[in-house]
Amino acid sequence: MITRLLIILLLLALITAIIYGRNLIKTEKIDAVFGDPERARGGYHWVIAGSCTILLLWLYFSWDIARSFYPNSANEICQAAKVRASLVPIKYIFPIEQRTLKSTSIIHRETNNINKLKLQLHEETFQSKDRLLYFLNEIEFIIISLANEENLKAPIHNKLKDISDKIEILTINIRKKSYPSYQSLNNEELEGLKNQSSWGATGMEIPFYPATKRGIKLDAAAKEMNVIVEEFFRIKNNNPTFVYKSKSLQTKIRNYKYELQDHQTSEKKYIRAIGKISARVSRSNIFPANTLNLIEKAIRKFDQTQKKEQGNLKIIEALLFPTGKIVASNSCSEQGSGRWLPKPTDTLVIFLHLLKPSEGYKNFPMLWYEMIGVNQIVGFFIPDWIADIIPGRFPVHNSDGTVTSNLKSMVLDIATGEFTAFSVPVPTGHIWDSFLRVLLGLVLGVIAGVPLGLFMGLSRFAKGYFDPVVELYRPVPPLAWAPLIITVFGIDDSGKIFLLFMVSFAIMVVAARAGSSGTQLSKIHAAHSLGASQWQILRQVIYPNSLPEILTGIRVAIGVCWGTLVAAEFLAGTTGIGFVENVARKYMQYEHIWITIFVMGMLGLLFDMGMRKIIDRTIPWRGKG
Amino acid sequence: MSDLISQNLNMTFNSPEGETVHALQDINFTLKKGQFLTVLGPSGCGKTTLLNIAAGFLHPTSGKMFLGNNEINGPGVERGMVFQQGALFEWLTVEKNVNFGLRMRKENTHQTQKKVADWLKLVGLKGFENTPTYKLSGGMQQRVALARCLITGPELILMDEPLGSLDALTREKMQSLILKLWNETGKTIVLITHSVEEALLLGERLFVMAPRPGRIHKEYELPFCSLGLNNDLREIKNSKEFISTREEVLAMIWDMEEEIMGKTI
Repeated sequence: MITRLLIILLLLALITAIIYGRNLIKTEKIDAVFGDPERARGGYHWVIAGSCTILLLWLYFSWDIARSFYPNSANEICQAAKVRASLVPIKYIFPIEQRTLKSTSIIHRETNNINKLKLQLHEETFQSKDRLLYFLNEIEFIIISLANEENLKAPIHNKLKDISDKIEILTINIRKKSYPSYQSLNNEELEGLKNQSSWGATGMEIPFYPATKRGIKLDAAAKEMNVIVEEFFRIKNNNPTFVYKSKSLQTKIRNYKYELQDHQTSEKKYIRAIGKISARVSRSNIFPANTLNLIEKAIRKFDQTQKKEQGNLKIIEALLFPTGKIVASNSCSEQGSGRWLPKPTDTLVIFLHLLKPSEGYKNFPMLWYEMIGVNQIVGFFIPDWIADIIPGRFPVHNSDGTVTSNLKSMVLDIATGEFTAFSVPVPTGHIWDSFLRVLLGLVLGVIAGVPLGLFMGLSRFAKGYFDPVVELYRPVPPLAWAPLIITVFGIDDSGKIFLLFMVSFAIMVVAARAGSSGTQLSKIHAAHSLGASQWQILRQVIYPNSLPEILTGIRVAIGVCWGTLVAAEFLAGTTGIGFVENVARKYMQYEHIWITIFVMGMLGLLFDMGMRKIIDRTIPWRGKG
Repeated sequence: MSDLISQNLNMTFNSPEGETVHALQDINFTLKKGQFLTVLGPSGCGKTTLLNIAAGFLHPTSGKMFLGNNEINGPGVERGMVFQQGALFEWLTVEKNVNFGLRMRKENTHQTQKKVADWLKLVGLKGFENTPTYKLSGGMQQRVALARCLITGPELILMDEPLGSLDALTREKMQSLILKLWNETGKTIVLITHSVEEALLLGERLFVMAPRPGRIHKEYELPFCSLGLNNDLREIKNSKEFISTREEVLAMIWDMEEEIMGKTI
């Protein structure tokens, strides 16, 4: 219900946005110059339209629109698929979906084989070749006897007539509203139907047992059809000539084989081929051409009728089940790309579960907080050696077994966090861990990269000296570094942060270098003649002048850092978004994979939007100088 | 006595093709304190090189330049410079641009603020203190550049085609402003220009320079700037004397240009 409402709202929003946009275009000056960047300003209604389109496409291709508007359709299509499956073997006999009648194609193929062998045999010189030619003629005779309608005995005729009658009756029956007039489900199936959950529920792909009237009808038809088809395949074209001839031929072939000596290899080869042809002809149940006409007609009619009985189900399947279909064998399943696209509603439910701090993923929340004592934080940041450099010695225990603390030991207590203090909330979770890694890597890269980049833009020494290092490692994809760095630094955070640092450092060096080497000489001259020192020129002129390049560099670095981080978390680690995706991939949790992708996209977008705000605020002169 | 003295100034460059270009040859002059010198000449005659040497951005190949008793050896606060494009710091506001020099010298902020207000009033930019410079028009940007240069109290002001990129009307207004500032502050000014009219109007003295090698071709003592202080500039431009001098100088420069073109073709 909610999904239906959501879909309608999305459609309405999309249409409204488009109409609003069209009207805006009409009311605006139409003579606006093409290529004027002002023309791309604003347009938030198009953002809405775009987002709605994405969501609707997702809903559509994951079959969620079908599920929300026609919740029973998958179950019914499953029953229709059962009917289709029941018809597959019998249809195969007739030129319905094949080009030729099955018997015709067998005769055609085997006659060809026989002729080929005959031609080869005529070339041979060994004695018994006449016997082999005789075998082949016998097989041809058997084929003729099978193809001749006159040889077909009356009981078989009657049996075939019986089958076509049964199919006709079934065809008439399924047109009736009251069909099936009997209880078509057995006890086991009724039990299964009772416990059957709905389409897309956890652990249930598509409900198998028919739940609707139409479904029951199709299910019953499929069952009856299965029985009829089975019966049909039990009918054999056993005319007396065929039975006698094939039996005697088999004996003769066997005798011939016995007589053969070890060295008669070409005879062996021929008799093996002849034996195979003979076996295929006897096994493949060839019928005279016109005997099956009635059954073919009945099958065609039944197929048409059952399709008609599916009614609007066919249209629903064609329109709302794109890029795939539902197939039935022992169970029903979705097939095609729609299956790999988790339904948005399922994804949302799982996302809400993941967001619950008590559940999270692998017992670690996505994004939450935990209370951490201030003492632990202080102990983390203050290095222990501070206590060591205080003059004096650590206290020695007294004769009564007590220890009097002195300044040195008290400082050590603070440095190691061994004191009581109040707790403060600290963020935690997979998302926070990933975020922190990116932030740390980025900040370290900026702190180290910007000064070096500026220096390299100004000094021949710096440019020459650091160029080989930076330019050699920069073009290597970060993922190529990852295994090495994780081996060196271990799988904890330091390795990942160092990898991110490497990435952002190279980008920042290049950006800052471009910025500083692009400073106009006249500005530097002006600063010189105004009495600025070298340091002041660097700080007050070159650095602010490079800000546009530096900020663009940071923006690029954020994007690359995200990419690298996820790859690094894929390789090793126990927290982080990349870790979640990697584990989800192992367990084939498609919803989780989609959620991680979505979260990463949103975080990247947030980072970038923040950067755009910062850029607009800090370098408003960009492009206006 | 802080005159600008040039003694046997020579400047040669080596071009990438290995040619030796004589940018300046035996430049000798003495500019008295408070004089307004304009330098005119076809492109490539070494005007800007001369100015850069005076500013200390370039070192002469031989010869010396003095301001007063001090030999010019690197940029210094006593020589302010105004550039063609303003060369303003667009990340700073008008006020911060103007007091850049004072801030770099860490002068008392309270005093500098008063100074900045005075100078902005003088160049006609009162009320624009907190405007970012990239929002100003070309003429206003040059006013900021003038104020920024003058506020530090240099003895000599070097102007490298300061009005080159302005439209005719703004240019005329700025010419009056420069004359007014020169009159009120009594600074020594060297102004380079392409415009013959501007050179005649502003300069107390005028050097017409000739190229290859760069040298002072002719020197004029002009009366127009003192007239311009009290009269309308357009009237002066239409006076007979002005027109005849202008035609003379123009003809001279045309001859030089033709000579160059003849040489190259």
